[in-house]
Amino acid sequence: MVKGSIRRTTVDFDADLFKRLKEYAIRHDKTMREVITEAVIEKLAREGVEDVKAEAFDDVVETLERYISRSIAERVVERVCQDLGKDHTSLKYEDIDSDFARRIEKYLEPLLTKKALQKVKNEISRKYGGGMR
Amino acid sequence: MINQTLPGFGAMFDSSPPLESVVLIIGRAGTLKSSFAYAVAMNLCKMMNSGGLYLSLEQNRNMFIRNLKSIGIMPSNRLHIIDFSTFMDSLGTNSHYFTHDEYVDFVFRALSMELPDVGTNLRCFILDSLNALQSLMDVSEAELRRKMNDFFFRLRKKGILSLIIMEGDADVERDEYYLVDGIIELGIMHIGTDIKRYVRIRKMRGCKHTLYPHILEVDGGIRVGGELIYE
Repeated sequence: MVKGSIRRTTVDFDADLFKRLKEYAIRHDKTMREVITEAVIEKLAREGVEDVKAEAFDDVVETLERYISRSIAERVVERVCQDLGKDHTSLKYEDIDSDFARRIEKYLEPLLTKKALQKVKNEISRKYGGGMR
Repeated sequence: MINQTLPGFGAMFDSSPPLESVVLIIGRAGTLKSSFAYAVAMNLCKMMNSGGLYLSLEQNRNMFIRNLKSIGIMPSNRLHIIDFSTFMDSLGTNSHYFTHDEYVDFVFRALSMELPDVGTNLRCFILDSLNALQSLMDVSEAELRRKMNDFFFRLRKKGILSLIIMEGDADVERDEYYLVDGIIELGIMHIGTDIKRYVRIRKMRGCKHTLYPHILEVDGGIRVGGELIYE
């Protein structure tokens, strides 16, 4: 089982659609799970991509706002995105991994106490744990 | 209670100044402004079993701690040092990265941020220095006075002791002197061939105090000695 995955995904497929899915998976040397995952990601990205992007960035900024002002939190998250070669305007939840959290911690170290830093790390891990590798 | 924070300091006061005050610590270079403010705040936090914040806008935290130790002051976890210059360096940016209102916002956000090591019972705040903050606020003189008035008013409303470090000559008139509750001057005086450090309370609302300078001694920490005779 993939870390952070959910097992409760019983889906009743149309028999013909299921057959086509199976053939596609074999042809592309993928599992059916992988094919379905890709299809869902593509569908969500096509229809709701802007909302998802803004959410991830704002969400991290809001987490940091308990400790620092919003403008500074925004600059820190922008800077971490820059370090990782990501565009902050298109930050996704899956981008917020342990490396991302470590970099945020590094930037905030001059400002926060050790315990506050630990709390920031724990909070990011708790909220975005699924995306942290 | 501030009068009990350093050995000998109490002799300069007839009564205890209100704790909820904004006090300028003013002096030229090398007059121990930062160390004096740190020692007062650290001892106040210990006496009140509370916490404090030291916001350094220009001085690196490690360098500051080294300076404190060199004069016999052992830093306390109760007084958290916010090292803003290292933070700005790490972002790879300069002072124009934020607007002047964002800097002030940062100060007040810092005063309400969660600092588990320091605790929620924040009793003391030090800004090092007002000159550094003002240099980040690129505004006209009239606008600066208005902003300083707002700044001190907001600090006073926090109900804590705010020690605001200011570089300069206390004899030069400045608007800030009228806006704060107290002014403590630190200086160096040449008496014949001797050189003495001194501390003088120029203003302290809500209490009686002497106006005469007293010797500031640095010997395994900071202590206030007797009145400085300089005829």
